[in-house]
Amino acid sequence: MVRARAKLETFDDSFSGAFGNADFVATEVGADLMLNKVRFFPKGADGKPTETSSCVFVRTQRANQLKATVFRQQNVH
Amino acid sequence: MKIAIKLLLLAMFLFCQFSTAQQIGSLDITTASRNRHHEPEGVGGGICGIASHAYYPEVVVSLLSLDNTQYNLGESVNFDVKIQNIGKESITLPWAPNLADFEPQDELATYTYLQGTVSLHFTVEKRELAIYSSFYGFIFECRDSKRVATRRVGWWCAPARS
Repeated sequence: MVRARAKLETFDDSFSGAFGNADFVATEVGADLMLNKVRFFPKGADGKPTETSSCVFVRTQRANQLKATVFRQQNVH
Repeated sequence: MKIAIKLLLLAMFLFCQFSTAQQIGSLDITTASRNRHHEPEGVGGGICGIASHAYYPEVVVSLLSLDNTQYNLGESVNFDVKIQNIGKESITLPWAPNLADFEPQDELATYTYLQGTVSLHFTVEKRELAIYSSFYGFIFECRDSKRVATRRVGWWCAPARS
């Protein structure tokens, strides 16, 4: 089991558009897993520390979904 | 006596059946610090696609719980995820919250690590909002003139389904 924390942020308008004129939306929430192999280079091409990342392919199945309501604005509830 | 032996065998059979589904590890990454000694200033693109070889790991990811039923945009979400290996071979996962714990002190060291990321996907109609939280395993390479030794720390193995 993994206990995790992440910030609920939108980086584009694709999800924000789901609100329409409403202040909240009812969502279904599922979880997934990704694996990446990352190589750190102290001096990259321009002399600065860089990383290269490649994914490790894992076939994943989302077993379930839980319900959660997402509010558009801060401090609504 | 025969009945006792049969009961014993039945108990052993049931134990084996249920033991394969037992939880074998727990990792809390909610307190992870992201302060690495040497932060990269650039991230290069990588290779990603379906593996060409016949076997690749297969897991079922269950969302066990959310810490709330209502969230504001900008809030943190705490959640528990179960990762179950349903493939035919063991899978090795990274299993440490802080990459900084394994990071070489030598700022000129080149190193490789495995990054696991659990993600939450909030879906409404056909729109999806994904958020991510990562954990790590580190491959420490110790090189000398005669050999290359690899030591792995921060790994966790999920046995295959029997």
